[in-house]
Amino acid sequence: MPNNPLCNPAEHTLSRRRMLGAATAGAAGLGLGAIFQPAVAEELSRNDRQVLLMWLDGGMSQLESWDPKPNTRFGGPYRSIGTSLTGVRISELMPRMARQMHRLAVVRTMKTEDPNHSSGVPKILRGHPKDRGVTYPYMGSAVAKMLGPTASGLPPYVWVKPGNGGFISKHAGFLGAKYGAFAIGSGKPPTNLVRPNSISDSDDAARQELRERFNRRFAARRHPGPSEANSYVYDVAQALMKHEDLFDAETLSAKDRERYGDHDLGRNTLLGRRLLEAGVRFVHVQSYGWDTHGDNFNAHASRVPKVDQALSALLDDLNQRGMIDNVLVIVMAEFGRTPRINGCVGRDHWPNAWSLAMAGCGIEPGVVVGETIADGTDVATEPYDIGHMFHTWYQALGIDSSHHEFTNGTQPLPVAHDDMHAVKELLS
Amino acid sequence: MDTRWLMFAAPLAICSFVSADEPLHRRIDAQIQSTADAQGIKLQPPAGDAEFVRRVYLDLAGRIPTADEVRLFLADESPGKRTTLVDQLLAKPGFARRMADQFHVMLMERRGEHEEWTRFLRSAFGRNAPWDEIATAIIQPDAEDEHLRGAAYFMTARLVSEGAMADVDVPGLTRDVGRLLAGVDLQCAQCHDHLDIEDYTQQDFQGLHMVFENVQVRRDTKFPAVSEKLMTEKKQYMSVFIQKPEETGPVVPGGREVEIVTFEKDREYATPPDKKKRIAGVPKFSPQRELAAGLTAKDNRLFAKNIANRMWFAMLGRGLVEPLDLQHAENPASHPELLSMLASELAARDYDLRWLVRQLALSETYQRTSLLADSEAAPPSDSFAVAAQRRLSAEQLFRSVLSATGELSRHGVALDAPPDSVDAAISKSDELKKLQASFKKAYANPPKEPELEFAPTVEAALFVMHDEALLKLLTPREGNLIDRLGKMEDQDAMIDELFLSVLSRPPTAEDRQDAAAFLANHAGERDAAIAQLAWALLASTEFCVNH
Amino acid sequence: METDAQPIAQPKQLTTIETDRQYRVIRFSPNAKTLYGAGFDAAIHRWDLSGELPTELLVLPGHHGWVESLIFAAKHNLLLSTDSWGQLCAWDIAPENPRPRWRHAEAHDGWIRAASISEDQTLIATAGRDGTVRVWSVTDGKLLHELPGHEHEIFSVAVHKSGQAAASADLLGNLKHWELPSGKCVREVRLESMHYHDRDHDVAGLYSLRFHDAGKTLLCAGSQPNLTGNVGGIPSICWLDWESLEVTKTMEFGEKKQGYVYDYQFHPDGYLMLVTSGAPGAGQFICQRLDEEQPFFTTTKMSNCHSLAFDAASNRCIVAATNRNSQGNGAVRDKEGKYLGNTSPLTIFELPAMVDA
Repeated sequence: MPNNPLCNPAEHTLSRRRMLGAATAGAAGLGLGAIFQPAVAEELSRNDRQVLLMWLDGGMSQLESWDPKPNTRFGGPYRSIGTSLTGVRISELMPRMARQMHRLAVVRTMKTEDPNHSSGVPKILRGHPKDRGVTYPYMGSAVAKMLGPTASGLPPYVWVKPGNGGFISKHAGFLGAKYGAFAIGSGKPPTNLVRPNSISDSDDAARQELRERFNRRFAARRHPGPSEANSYVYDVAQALMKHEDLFDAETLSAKDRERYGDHDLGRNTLLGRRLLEAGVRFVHVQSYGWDTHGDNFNAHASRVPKVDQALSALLDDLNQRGMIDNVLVIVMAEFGRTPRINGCVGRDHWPNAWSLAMAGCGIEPGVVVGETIADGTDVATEPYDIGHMFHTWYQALGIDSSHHEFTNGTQPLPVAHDDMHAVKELLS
Repeated sequence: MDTRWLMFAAPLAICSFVSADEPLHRRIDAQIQSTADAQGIKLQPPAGDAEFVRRVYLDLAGRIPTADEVRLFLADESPGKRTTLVDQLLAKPGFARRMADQFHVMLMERRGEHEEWTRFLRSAFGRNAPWDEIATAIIQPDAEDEHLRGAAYFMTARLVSEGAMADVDVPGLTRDVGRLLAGVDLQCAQCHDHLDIEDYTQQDFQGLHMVFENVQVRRDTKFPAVSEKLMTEKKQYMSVFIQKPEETGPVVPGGREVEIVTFEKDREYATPPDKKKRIAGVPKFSPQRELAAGLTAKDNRLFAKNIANRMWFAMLGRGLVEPLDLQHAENPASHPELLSMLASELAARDYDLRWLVRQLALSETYQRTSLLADSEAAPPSDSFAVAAQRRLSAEQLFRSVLSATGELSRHGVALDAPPDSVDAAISKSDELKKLQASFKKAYANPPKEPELEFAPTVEAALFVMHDEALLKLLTPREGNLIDRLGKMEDQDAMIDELFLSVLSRPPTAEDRQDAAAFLANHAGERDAAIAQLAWALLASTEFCVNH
Repeated sequence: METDAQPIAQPKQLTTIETDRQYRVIRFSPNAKTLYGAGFDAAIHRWDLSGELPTELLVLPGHHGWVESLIFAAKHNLLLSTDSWGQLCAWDIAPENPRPRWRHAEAHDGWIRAASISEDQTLIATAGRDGTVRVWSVTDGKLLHELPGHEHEIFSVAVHKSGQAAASADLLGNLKHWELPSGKCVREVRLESMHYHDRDHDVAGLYSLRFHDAGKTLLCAGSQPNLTGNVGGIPSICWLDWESLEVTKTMEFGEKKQGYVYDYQFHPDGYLMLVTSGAPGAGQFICQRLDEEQPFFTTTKMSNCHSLAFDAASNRCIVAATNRNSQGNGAVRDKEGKYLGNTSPLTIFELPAMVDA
């Protein structure tokens, strides 16, 4: 703060107080989304900014995607191809993205700390802030907290993943379980989404009204947090019920299904787009199985084109629908993969010099930030940690990440690593 | 003793207001009071009887009280009736079950269930086994004792492979032993000294870790069991920052490094291994035994403080040290002397948990209302100036719903029946078994996530709104609540009965008015309207939390 | 007590040549005086074997990406090589420094995964990522047949002994029978056990096709995969009856961590020599008679074995394996801070004395 000439201390205090107020005020009787009252609504409500994070769990190889080193010792078998950005080449496994590079920003000099999945995944998804003895929220929970739900009343932070759905509270860290992820498994509707026929609309409305009435009375002289949280989940449940069609594959056009691809990532990205359209604030699309210690090249030949297909369809749609200015799209994993090719023709974990990509809201289109050295075994230009990206993304979303703070009880906490900063070239 | 833990061994500071001869619960209150005074915080008055009776049943019996139990307590005019009720509840089998359920959730963090483990917990709490004995059984499971052997599940459930690429998570077991039995999360000290917590060194982690690296899951038993390999050498390790080789023997959290005792070749075993029969053998030097002994040693302050803090959390909804597993010098308790006192007294009482629960339940701090004073902001939660609204476990909720809806009576079991009778009724009914599973699915956290705060979920809301088996409890069926209420002609009495059964309190005038208006609006379908009312109460926050 | 059983003669490990890079394929030249090797560095390497110790010769440049096929056409003094950028090259190996006689820089669009030469050395078939099989004239590189039709990447191809047919198999284990010269796909079969799908990932198991037994049998070698992420599967060779397209026998070599049969050769005595590569460090060199259930020789001392070169004249073979500890997260550097790659140690075996016919 002291180094920033633009910072007005008075304003800063004001916004801090406003934020603290949001955490404790929440008078009884606020219905929908009361507990998610956006922290600094005035500053942020310029428009309804949203995020879609495509997470390639296990670690996609930068060499078989954004930062190919063809014809070098570690470069692997694939060719690179030219893109819509002059002088920028990416792997031949991404022909569709090559035509969309002018919409994308890529960072090729990610240098992060942790080479393990179990600790690396949460570190990256939390933006790896300075350790203050508290558990930071995942980005989705943090955005849910800072931007709140949209007017849709849908859960602000939704995971779309293969396998089971459910509620993942641990993502919320110190923000408290209510900011956890609402997970939709294999595109299936949440259990019990559909109301039994025995309950009519009017009966349901009547009983819900009673429930709220009792809740308000109970909360009137108690700490309002629990009642608000409880009311909130009922509100979200009812909002979700209005979107049953999201979970009905029949409502999809065959063309959409084909464009995104008939595979987990394609289907889940398409559902992700529909969730954005329905008004979910932060969608996390999860793709599993990228930990290619063995058979890396065949695995990437099978997998990367699916990212290429789903991501390019998504970018097309966001552009066509005029959503791209409000939706931040991020594609990343917990690390990349080693240049060294191991005995089982695989690549191992590589936090040393990897790539990620982003597009949309607040992001400068058509830039490639950073370079790795010729054989890809280190960064050649300034390395960036995930903390730099969190500052960048928060600023792209209109959050002043170097001033805005969370509060944990009475402890103010920076939203992103306090020694890091946004990468200017990435911001539009 | 390692000097780093000296702060945990600070001599007990006696609060100046209350003599050490006073019962512990009075001294607890004195400490809370003096800290609040110093901070200018006003403590809220005691809870009303109805508030108290619901709270204490949920904590000590694992369920809400029945309407009759509430009436009985409210009608009782004797001055010591709260103490009497606490003592009655502590003496009943429901208390042992509640403790077993609570410790199951705390220690296993929803990793799974096993009948041997359940038997171990129920038997241990059934005889009010001291906590140091329980902890010893967990660290050094005794396969010979059929009531204790199930304790090995703590380890075997964690020593499982989670997929083809994942190694068995031995570091995770190490971490959990530190977290759950000593209140220290050493995870970040695995590869180097903890970056931010000076007290947590890599040696602490590695020294504890080597005990579990030495453990093997036995394949020759049908029940969970582990064996130990020979340990003859110190463990070599290196910090990823300072590439200097270090070595250590087993280290007890809160204690010291244990000397490795070696024996002549062929004399290392108390029971030699038998490869043909695949029997692992029992080494004479047992790191597990050393760890168990060191952890439960009377002077191990981390061990004592951890359990004192966890029991405080269980009864008050917030630990004196938060997070529960981050005890260290720079994260002091909100009431350091109080925690120190609880730990010392508990150790001096041979870790009698029932005694501690009784003292906590008798304290004014526990018995305070959850109502805030008018027009005042909520006091900070670490002042304990107002009672918290606490999470109910899936087990507490299920049992409470069975009681509230009169479902047990329908199955011929008294609403206040002891847990074994309730279990028997559940096991005879597919419907109830399914419902029990649904409650766990809707209300339990995913595996490995500690259940700490009230965290309602959309899933649980949808469950309450739409689950047909749950909604069936609110249709009139012979002997259940709705059936009973439907037959009551006096509307006021009916509304009383409804509120006492579900919310464990009489209705307020406003409640009564709302209920009457609702019934009047749905005059043609009284049973359905009563069910709607009951549903709204069951779905309300008041029912879902322990307040 | 006397026993009739003779001790079974075993291959004998002679020496290991350290290299400074990884080789995907090694082959003896037809006169066995030169060992050729290729892999991840876009070049063909050679060693002169005439002296006491192998000496490296000049590399053959001009390839890109990975070079995975080295096929000799002795009649024509040619070496045919393919790479992962789609190049097919025929080298005249008569001169001391071989030179391309012909080459197609874009024989395929991208990775050529397989190549197979006809017995009379007139045709070579190639196939790969572009899903098309192409048949070329060996002597002049003329494209004779273009056989499109696979919907997925092709991993293996074989030309029938008759020269009148070819077989190819793709990622999913779909096998096609091509009639030459009509270029028609006349039969198809799916080898489901040689494919695995999980979590958006198709794992190919059928890595190589080879006609055997005068063309009556098609050997389908590779793995029965059952894991993504890391190599997992039982190294296998399926014996497919060419007439009925039915699997008549499946030979399995080890447990699932052993992964894939990467290369194999038949010894003139009739036994099979093969190498496997699976999980990190898991490698086998196996010798097994076709009529026996178990190998008569197995060694697991070498990590991740990828190729096997055999020379009948000297009755020796060379196994290209991988250095120990080839797997590791983060940057592995030497004392000077140089980033370390992996290598393929070449181990020479003397095979049991041939049975005198």
